[in-house]
Amino acid sequence: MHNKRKRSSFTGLIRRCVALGLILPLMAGTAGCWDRTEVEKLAIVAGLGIDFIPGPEPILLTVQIVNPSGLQKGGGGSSSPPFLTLSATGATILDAMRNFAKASPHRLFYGHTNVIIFGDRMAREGLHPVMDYLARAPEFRRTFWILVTPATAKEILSVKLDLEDIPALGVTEMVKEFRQSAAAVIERQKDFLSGISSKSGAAPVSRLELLDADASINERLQEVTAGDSQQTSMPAQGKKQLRLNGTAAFRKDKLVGYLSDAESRGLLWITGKLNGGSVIMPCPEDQQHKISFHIERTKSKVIPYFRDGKLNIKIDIEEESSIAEVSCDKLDVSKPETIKQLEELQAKDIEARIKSTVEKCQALRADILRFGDTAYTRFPKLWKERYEEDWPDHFANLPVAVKVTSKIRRAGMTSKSGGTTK
Amino acid sequence: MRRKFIGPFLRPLLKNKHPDSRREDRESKNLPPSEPCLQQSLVENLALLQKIFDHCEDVIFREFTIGEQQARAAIIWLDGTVDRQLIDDIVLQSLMQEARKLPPNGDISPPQLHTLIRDSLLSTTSIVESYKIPDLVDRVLTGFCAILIDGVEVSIVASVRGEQMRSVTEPETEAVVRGPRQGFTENIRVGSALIRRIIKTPDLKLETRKLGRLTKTDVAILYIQGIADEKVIQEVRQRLGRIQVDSILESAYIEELIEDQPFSPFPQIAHTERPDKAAAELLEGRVVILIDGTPFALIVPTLFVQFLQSSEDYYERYFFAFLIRSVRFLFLLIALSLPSIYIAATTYHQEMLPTPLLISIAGARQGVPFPAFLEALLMEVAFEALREAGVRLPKTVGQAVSIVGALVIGEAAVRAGIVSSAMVIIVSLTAIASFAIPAFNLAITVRMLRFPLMILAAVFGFYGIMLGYLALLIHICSLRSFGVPYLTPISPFKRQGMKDVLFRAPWWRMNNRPGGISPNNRQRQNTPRPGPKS
Amino acid sequence: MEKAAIPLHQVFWMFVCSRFILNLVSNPFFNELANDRDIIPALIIGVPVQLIYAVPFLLLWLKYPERSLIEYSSSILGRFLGKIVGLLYIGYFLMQTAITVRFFDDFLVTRFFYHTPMEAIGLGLLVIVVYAVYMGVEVIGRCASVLVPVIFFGMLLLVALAFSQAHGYNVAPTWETSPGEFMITMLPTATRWSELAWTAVLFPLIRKRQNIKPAVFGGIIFVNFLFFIVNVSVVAIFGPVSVKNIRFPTLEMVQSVSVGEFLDRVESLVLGLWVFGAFVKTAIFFYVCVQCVTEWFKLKDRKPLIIPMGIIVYLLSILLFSNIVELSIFSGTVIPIDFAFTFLLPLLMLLIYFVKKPFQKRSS
Repeated sequence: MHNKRKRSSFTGLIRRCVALGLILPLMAGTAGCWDRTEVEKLAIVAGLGIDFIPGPEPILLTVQIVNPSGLQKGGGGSSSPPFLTLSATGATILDAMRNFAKASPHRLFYGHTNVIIFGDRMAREGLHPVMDYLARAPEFRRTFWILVTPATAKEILSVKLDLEDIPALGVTEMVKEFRQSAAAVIERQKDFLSGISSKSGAAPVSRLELLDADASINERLQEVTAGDSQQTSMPAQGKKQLRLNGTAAFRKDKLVGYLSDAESRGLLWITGKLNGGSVIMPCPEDQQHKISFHIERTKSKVIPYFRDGKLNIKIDIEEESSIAEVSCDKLDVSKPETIKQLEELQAKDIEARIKSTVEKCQALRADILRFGDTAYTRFPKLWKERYEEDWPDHFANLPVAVKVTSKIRRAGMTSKSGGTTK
Repeated sequence: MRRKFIGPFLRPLLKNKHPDSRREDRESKNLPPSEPCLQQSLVENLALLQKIFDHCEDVIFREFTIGEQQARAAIIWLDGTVDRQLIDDIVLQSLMQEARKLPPNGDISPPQLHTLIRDSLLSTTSIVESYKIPDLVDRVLTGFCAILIDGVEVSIVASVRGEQMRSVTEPETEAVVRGPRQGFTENIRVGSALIRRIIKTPDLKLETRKLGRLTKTDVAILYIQGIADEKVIQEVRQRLGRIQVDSILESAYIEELIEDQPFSPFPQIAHTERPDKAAAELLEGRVVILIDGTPFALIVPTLFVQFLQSSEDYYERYFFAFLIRSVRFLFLLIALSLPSIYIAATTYHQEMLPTPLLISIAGARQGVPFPAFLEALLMEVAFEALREAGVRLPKTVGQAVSIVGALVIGEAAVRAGIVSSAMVIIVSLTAIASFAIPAFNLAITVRMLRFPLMILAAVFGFYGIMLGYLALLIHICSLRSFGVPYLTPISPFKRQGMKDVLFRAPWWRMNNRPGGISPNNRQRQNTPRPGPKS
Repeated sequence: MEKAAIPLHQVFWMFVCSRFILNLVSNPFFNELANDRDIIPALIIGVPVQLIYAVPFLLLWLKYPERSLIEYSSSILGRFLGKIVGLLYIGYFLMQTAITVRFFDDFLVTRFFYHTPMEAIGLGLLVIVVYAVYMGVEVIGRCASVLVPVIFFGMLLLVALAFSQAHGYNVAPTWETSPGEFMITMLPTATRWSELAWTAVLFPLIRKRQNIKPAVFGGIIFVNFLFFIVNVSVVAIFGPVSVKNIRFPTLEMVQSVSVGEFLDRVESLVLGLWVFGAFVKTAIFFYVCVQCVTEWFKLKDRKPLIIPMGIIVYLLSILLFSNIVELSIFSGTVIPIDFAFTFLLPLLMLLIYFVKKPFQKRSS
């Protein structure tokens, strides 16, 4: 019995060994490796830009490709640049991608693409066809950041950044940093899709602009020093810089307009994504000086309710802040009355900001504030009956009430302004 | 015929005279069926023995007379295995000097003299009587001295062993920072004594048998009655009984002859050089097999997790053991699959690497002429060669090898762009990880299995690695060691056993012996959690 | 033939894995639900539906603890009908095995190996499965009890890592449908418990099989717990509308994991989990196929059957469907078949058993 088992397992092993010995190298050598690509043969795409040019081949793709040999550290004078920018046009996005293959010796690899930038025109034409490809292609993941630029994506991707070798990666870092400080609403692709497919049918996207910040600063500096005999020589033309500034509002897949920086912050107030940040407002008595607050904690609630059979929205915001900077002359922040006064002023200030954001959104008829979705969750039947059809129009005429409660918790490490007694 | 049989034992001495004695004794397989007995006549006996020990110049025959009767006698021993001082003092002194002091009560017949010598003259502890020539020959060859008296057909065999042996030193293969510094030696008695010194109970049983037709190696089965599983002990006895082999020169001979699945790459019997570890295994209900001539003891039944446990785990506080154990499991995985993961990640799943890492690997591989798989294969093979060279060569030359390896492969090859620096890091990490596996035999297995995994990774990427893991898992799950599933505390799951796998529970929590090995006498300790009594 | 004995806890793991693993790759559930925002109430209400669903089979097992489904179907339904029912079950198991292999192929090809032929991927898996089935059900059980906890904790970890992407408003229930409607919606989910059928075949091999109840009910609850964790997070991450369009929601969830700067793209981990899980599921179903055929023909040894049947499964997995759309549609239309094999037939047999029992007693 035992012997028999042994023998059968022995022949089995021999057979297995022979089979393995034959099959494995065979697979490795001939049949296998269908999907194999060596790393050095990949062109790693760090950023992708999509523009629209009217014509037979309307899609203009711009990719920023990492050049690893340009990044080698200590390898002597690196003559080659750390990144390359390529462009190609095509009738569809896949067509354009195929056109890259004609120009590049390496396969373009999108697995590391973290940021996709849309030109203004492209966004206005509608992102649906592009988004469909991006959702279908397995190399893209649904967490890449979407940005819209009023310029063209091609321009943006050609700009060098100061501290990052590869600008697209730098933009990704910028986006992450911005989200941390909650200075703008920045959406991943999945959230964008979820937004435009929700009952609200709109989504905000962050706006990336190209501007010559140095130039304007230098101009102003020159104004200040104009009287001086010793003129500092400053170049009138500065370096072009990328800046996240404002928000683009999408209704369905189309761009309908931009919100300014201040209005974008209002958006954050409403969606409750504000963590950190500050409020700067004029002093109560004199408009010349400013007082600023650190926002410690905010809580926002969008409450839909029906009055006289009509949908109303109430925005309830509770905010806690601390005094960060007081340059007012006559303000004594050690008095409880002053604090009370400041709290009220602050509440009013915030209220005004939020109102302006709401008005702007209503003017654009883009419900990026998620009012529709919230109302639907609360009153699914009523909402479906009365509002589902022309929601953008209903949204534009929606009565919105804002109520802000401000609390000042701390006043920093000094009690009097400036610490310099007068 | 006899002479030829004796041959191999004294081969070193006889080599020049009988160049082909080895081949001949292979032909003379066995002793003749009827074993010849001793005769009454001393002259005949001596003639017979001298014929047997022909050309065995280290077998010494010493003839003398006893007492005043002048009874003729002879003493035979194998020089080198006995203590000459003992023969002088105990045997010859008493037979030649003390015997003279006995009052000669008339004539004593040879049998009476024999009894007298046996019972009152020989002042040594171990005395046996031997009737048969083969038995006598065996005993002479294992360090006894045989006393033959004229007119008696029985020989008195007294133990005067005094062989040269190594003293008990610290084991080299299983070093610990904290823990006993004793290791087994080549002597089986020293081994059993070392274990006995740790476990002082008559329940610790020791069964000895001789294995190997020519080497007649002493093999001892040790177990604690009442803790070890009777079925396992019986299985060990049976499997040892099935062994038919010429020689046992090392524990590996027995390991290969009694293991469960001879075609498995995995070691199925653990071995140790440490008496404390052997004792610990005995106390968990296992059976220890001691083999004369080697400091390594075998331990059965063996579980997979045993190869990742080291005695240090128990000698340091359990926090340390917790950390080290989990790291060891990680290292096992790294040693097994890091090169294949590298291949899969760089040739199939580039998106899984963090962007900066991918860029630096791509930069490092710029200009490397081989695909990642070949590069990894080359480097792994080179490393194996380097290691083998370093192990076999004398220590002084070994250093030269490592210098050449480090300089040529580590430095020049990367500089020349033949291999990437990333690959060098991968290979060295793998090597370090494989050194971190406490059991050398498992490390060898892991080294071997790395290569098929690399091929699979080159064919199917991560999918291939996963298939490889699955095949290994199925194989491990199907293994048994002496009836105990190889993967025991993990699967089949045993709660008590799991306390000593990924981490080691503190002693005051390991109340029972690990499950699965033996069903008997499970409780190990009953100390409550220490701390000041409240 | 070996009389294997699988401990109950291993049966539990096999049961859980076999049901849960398809969720990693295909989730018809999202499309069956009218509004995916209501996923939380739907899943909770679904649990009792599934528990009740398991009862007929459970009772049937316990009536014949020493015999398998193929054996007692003859003694309940008579020789001829019983044999036909046995044959039907063999077909059912073959189909299930082939579908699993096919889903697995499609998933890997779509996401990870765009250029590798599907045939090679399926072959790789089936070779391993055949090896496991050669080794016997005990080995499969042991493998399951190692792999399934790994899958479970892996999933938990992944969900925890992906959680930062979730938005609560995506899963705020609207209660558009009433609880009764939810129960009907959850019926298809219940019919997918084909695990009940294989347990009926393996039942006589289970150690302490009289205590199967907690294992099965516990398994159903555990799987629903996993569904809850994974599916709710998926909807919370992608939103109730887009989730219906995503082919591999769980994979996409894993892809969205981003922790710190380094743990960014861990979907290869899910590839590992899926390969492990698919292996366990395919191995069980394939073992059951082989076991059924052995018992149906009353053979002594199942080993000669393994390779020919492996080839059949391999061919079926390739030839049954020409593309992924057909596969998805098929997995939708398969509900009545599942229902028949996991609920209707056992219920029928159970009823006949109860009707016949008094007569048999009288005659004996």
